[in-house]
Amino acid sequence: MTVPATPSRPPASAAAGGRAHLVKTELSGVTIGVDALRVSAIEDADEPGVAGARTVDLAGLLGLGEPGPRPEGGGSRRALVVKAGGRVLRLVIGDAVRVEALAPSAVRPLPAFVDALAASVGIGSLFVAGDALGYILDVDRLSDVLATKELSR
Amino acid sequence: MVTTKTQSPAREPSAESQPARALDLESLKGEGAEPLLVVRAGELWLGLPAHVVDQLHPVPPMTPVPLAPAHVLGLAILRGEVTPVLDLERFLELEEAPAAATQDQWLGGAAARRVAVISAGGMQAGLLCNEVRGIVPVRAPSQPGLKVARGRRLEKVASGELSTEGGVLVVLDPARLLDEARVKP
Repeated sequence: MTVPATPSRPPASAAAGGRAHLVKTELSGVTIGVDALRVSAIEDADEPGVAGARTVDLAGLLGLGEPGPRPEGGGSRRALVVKAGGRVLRLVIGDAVRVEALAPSAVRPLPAFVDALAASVGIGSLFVAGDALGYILDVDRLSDVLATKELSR
Repeated sequence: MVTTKTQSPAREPSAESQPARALDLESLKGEGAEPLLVVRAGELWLGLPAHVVDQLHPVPPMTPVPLAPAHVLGLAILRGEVTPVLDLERFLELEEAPAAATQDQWLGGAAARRVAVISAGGMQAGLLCNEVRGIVPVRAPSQPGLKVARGRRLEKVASGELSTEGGVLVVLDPARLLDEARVKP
């Protein structure tokens, strides 16, 4: 059976022709990026956060293990607050977060062999920086994935 | 009383699973020849139609794919393109330690491994092989049906087999291979 390819969606700022800005984090050695335009806040994951927000352990969702132990010296895990699918999501990540610009040419579509990632975990595209490669999370797709999982319970 | 420590008998290769090194490429040539890239996964020799083969590479650095099955090793950047790489031996369930490990040591070890990038069925992926022998004009299979591949995962992706005195070559259908091996929702 051939599964039709799911079109990849680059970050909004890249699609408009400008440089994308990604909020990046590392989970078990894998770099995950979220379009900075979609991140309304970066907050302490252990704080209560916005009322009514859905908290998502991103490492667990992606099968990339725990976000990591709390760093010594008072660091804490972060949560990216995004709005998608009519609700607020708090994506719990590691403690290290950085915002970086990305040239449009660095954004790549998902290869057809792995394009099921879009439907299963909301990964919409990839970015390449030198020899390094990372995944760009499409928060709208992620919201759809979460809604589907909730409906199937 | 003298006791003798007995060793476990060495695994004797069956007619269907001759040691990989015994495959005679010359015996594969003949009428109706189709160029095939001949590669080894585990102890089995496999053939891929040459027209689907894009590139051959040493094993590259790879980024893991979230939630992918174990045979999907990761994504690699090959000639500037993001390419998924799958472990052919693992996907086809041909892992047979320690015999395969011994074969690898004899045949050059990990240094002999190569990634063959193929395009088929609208997809492109790299196949990690234990060894690549090269492109050989291989004669058409003389007997119908599958013998070595029957009853195994290999059966789903094989299009034919050639038996020679030196061993068996299983010809793969690359489009079916990539469709079976791809990451599913």
